[in-house]
Amino acid sequence: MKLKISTFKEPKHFGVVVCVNWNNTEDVFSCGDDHKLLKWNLVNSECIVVTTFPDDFYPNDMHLFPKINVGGNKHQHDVILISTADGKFHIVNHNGRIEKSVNAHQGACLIAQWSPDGAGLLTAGEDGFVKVWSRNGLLRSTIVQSDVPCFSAVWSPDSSAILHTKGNSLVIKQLNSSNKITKWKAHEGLILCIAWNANNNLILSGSEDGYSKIWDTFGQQISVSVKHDQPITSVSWSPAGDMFVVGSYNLIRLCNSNGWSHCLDRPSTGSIYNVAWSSDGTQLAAACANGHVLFAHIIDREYTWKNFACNQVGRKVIAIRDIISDQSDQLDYPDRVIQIALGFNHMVIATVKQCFIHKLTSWNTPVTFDLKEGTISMILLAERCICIVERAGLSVYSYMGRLLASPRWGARPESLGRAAVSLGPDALAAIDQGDRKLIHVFDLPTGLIVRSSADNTVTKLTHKMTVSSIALSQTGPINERQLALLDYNRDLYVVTVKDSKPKFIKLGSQILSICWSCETELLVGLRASSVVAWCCPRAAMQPDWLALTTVSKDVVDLGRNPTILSIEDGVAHICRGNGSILHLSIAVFPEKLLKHVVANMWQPALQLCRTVEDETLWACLAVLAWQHHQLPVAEEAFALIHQYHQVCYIQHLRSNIPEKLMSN
Amino acid sequence: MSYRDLRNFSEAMRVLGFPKPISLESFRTPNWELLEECLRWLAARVEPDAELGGGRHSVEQRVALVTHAIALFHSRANIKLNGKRVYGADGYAVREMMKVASLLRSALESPSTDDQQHENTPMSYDFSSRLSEIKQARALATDITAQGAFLYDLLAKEAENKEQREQALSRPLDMSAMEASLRRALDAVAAKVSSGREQIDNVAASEAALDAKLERKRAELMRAEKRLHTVQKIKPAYQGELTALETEIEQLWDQYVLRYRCVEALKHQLSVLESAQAEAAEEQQAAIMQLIHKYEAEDVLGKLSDSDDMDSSDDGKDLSEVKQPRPATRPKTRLRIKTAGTAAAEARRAFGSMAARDSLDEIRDEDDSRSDSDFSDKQGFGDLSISRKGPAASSEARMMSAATAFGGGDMPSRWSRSRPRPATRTLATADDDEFADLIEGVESGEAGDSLGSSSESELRVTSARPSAAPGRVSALSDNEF
Repeated sequence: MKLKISTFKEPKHFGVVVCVNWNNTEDVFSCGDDHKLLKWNLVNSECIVVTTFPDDFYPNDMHLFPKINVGGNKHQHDVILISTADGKFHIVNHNGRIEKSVNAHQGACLIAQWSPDGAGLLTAGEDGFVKVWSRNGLLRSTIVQSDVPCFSAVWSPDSSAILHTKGNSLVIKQLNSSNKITKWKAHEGLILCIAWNANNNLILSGSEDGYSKIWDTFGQQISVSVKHDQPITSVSWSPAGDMFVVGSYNLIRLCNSNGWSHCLDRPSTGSIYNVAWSSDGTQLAAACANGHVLFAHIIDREYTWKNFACNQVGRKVIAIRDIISDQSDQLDYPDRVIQIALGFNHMVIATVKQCFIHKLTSWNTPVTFDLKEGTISMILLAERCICIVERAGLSVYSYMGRLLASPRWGARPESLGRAAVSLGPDALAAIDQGDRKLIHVFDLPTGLIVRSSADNTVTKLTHKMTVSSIALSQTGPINERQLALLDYNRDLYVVTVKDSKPKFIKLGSQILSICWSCETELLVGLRASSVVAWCCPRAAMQPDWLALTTVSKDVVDLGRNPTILSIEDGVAHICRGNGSILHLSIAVFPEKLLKHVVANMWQPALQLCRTVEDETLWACLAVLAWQHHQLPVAEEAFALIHQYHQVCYIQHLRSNIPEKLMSN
Repeated sequence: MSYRDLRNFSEAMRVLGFPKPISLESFRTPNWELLEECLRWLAARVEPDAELGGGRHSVEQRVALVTHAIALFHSRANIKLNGKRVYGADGYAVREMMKVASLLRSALESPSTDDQQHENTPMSYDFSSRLSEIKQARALATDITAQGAFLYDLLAKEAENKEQREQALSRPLDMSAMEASLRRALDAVAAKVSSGREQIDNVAASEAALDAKLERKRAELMRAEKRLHTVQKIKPAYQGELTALETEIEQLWDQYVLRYRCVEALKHQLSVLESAQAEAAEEQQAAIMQLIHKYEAEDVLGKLSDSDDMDSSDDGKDLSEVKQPRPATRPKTRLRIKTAGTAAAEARRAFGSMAARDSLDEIRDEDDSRSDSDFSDKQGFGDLSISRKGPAASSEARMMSAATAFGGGDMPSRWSRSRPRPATRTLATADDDEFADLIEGVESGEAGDSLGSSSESELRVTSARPSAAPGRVSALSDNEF
């Protein structure tokens, strides 16, 4: 992954550009010390002067009103908040007319930011005050008073707290309770810029000491960057929270959310004072000290699935390659490619206007359908359907491009993370954003039976803890659909969705990441230094069986925050903390056994167990045979794992109950 | 305002390469150390040799430093700084230093293109292209001197011209004359304008005319195109016939080519056979000649006392030797000859003397038929040559030549047969018989060949009536026999 940087030849601003912000995925506003407000259009690469402000108007910060799906006058949302060096903040409409100017601070007003829900705004100034204002510019409260200037302040994603800098420490101040303050020393130098991501709830800070650091909301340091020679002047999270960008003097660095660097560019732009991501997370704009506005696209995103690999080589070009037949092709799209998903024998490409579904067997003839809005934040694939997350909402399509369902549960899809939503072959699960203990599971219409979207049966599951990550099993009939969830304590639970009384069964604790196998009901989880595979998650009713059917393998130096990408044929693909991918064979035979069982081939399954002679495998077979009422097989298997009481029980059953009934 | 100033100052110093980072907080409180460092560094950038006096320890030293720096910047860079503010070493001092830094920065940024040009020009030592410029410069120089001289002359005349000019200027202006002249000028201009208008109108008219013409031509073009299309669409009456004929010709040509190839192949086979037969005939001839010589020798030596039986047995033995290749060479196609031959042979075997006469008769018959057939052959060819045209003619000629050659080849055999006949008529009947068989063989081969080539035989049958004659003759002779 890397940035492809483009600038106009001549700087359009005379002097310093201080702030940039995206209007939508095509339009950028920028404002600089030449008092001009410029609007850039990336599609036809033109730049128009919206307005020229008076001569004493030196902007410090600019923020566009957040795009939220609330009703009301659209005109009211088209406003820009600009703070200036004379201590005022201005509300400017998109035509450049100053609608309101409010005297907010003594000295310069350094930060002005709308709250994420659009209800208010905060300003921070050189006088050390942080103030919250209503949308109309009436002072609500002065949150912070101090004697050192506040160089940066941001809202928390849920608008309930404010993070601000105080010298070289960071402070989180809750709005509702006045005494709850989290404060920690973050850097050796002055902190110049901070960012808070809604998706992963992590805080990013950049300082004059040349470091950028990632923090969680308790002030624990997650990662620290290498030391830069010059002060970090800007940091920005991508909307999805999987990347961030760091700007410094003549330097722009793209990093993974774990802190390691994807790429580093050294454009000769002077300090980069501000970086803004577009809402689709594929483009960014940067304000440079030499009057340039820098635009960058993320290219070279690579995806692999089985023997296919695709790579975005340009803004509109994707190279796909079949490694076995050594076929390769370059696919050109009419618009900019935003999202790519590869899997389940399909490649789904979302561009600004359309979505293309390529079958991997014949990738030259895609199925195409139009998108509602050009800001796709995520594409999920399952065996039979695709889920596309747009700002307008979630939609589930079949691979033929037919809309199957568009579930609604009052969510804000742009802040929906990959962990919070999971797609199964016939179900979609999502964590409620308001109450994160609640999980919605939507049944999707499958096959030829098309239900109207109204009678989508929704199952609501309530866990006792805040849920952080969910995953739906990918195989099996809908009645046996299982949901694995990781809660706030990193405990792993499995629940069968369609049970009349859903029971959350705990499988393990201290699990960092989970993933279901695509073809069987094999669940693999990641601990800090080991990988665990639960071959029969439904055996968890009996703890001894669960222990017998669990495979664990120790892995050293997984790094911090590793994730499981996928399981294929018992081989887990693990993305380690440093970004390298580890292929770990953990449950090859169990997965093969599971496949046999799914196909109802008990003789090959028995043969496999007899050949391999592994206790875990025998245990799996025993449990599965027991669950599938294959008593002879179960008897043999239980005998081999020394579960003699079970053997006796089976023998008793077989002697007393006619064979015919048993096989049913 | 100090935030913005500090930010810009820090950025400017960073661009200029100041070794220490300047924090945004550094001048919030008076910071003489950093100020002094910055001043000294900036002074060194403006004037590399300059060394600012003063120091940081006492007020006097600081004042000396500031005054020295201000003087330096004023004299070298033409920048006036406010000494009081600089001495404050706070946000205002930053604003003062910003003046120097921005000057240096603009110097760093703006002339980058000029620098490149300056560097580029002295690099080009190639003045051969500029030799012509010398000539030009010389010409210009002489021109200048000439012009100067001319100017000097004119200036010399100035003294008298001045009087005249002043006279002219002092002359009172005649208003009426001026008005008249102005009116004249006005009229002239008006006339020019009107003519211009006219021309414009004409242009419009001609444009309209041209447009009309264009339109007409276009219409004509359209008509012509339409006609062209219709003409192209009409299919002439003979088209169908033509295509039919073409296909027919095509078929005929294919047929012809096939046949021609067959003829050629057969001809080749014929020639091969002929050569083989000629060889065989020669061999046999040689053998027969040997025999004849032998018998003649016997005659001459007068060994007539030997019994006929012995002779015949010898003969039989010899014949059996000679006859060996015969069945191979004799074609089975011609039934008549075969039966006749075998019958004769059998007759000869059974009745010695009878057979001889029979065979002689047969030979005579054959002779006749042969001459007939020869003739008919020729006639057939003649017919052929009449009936065929074009490319066939050449092949015809070849065939003719082949036929004559064959005839030529035949001649000696006939000769050789006719020569010994008078001498050995009574004595070597069996030999004659032998010959007859041989000749029959040869002839039958020839006839077989000629029959074998289907086209020829066809032609012979269809075109030449006389060609049937030999068949009839031979049949007659058979019947006669």
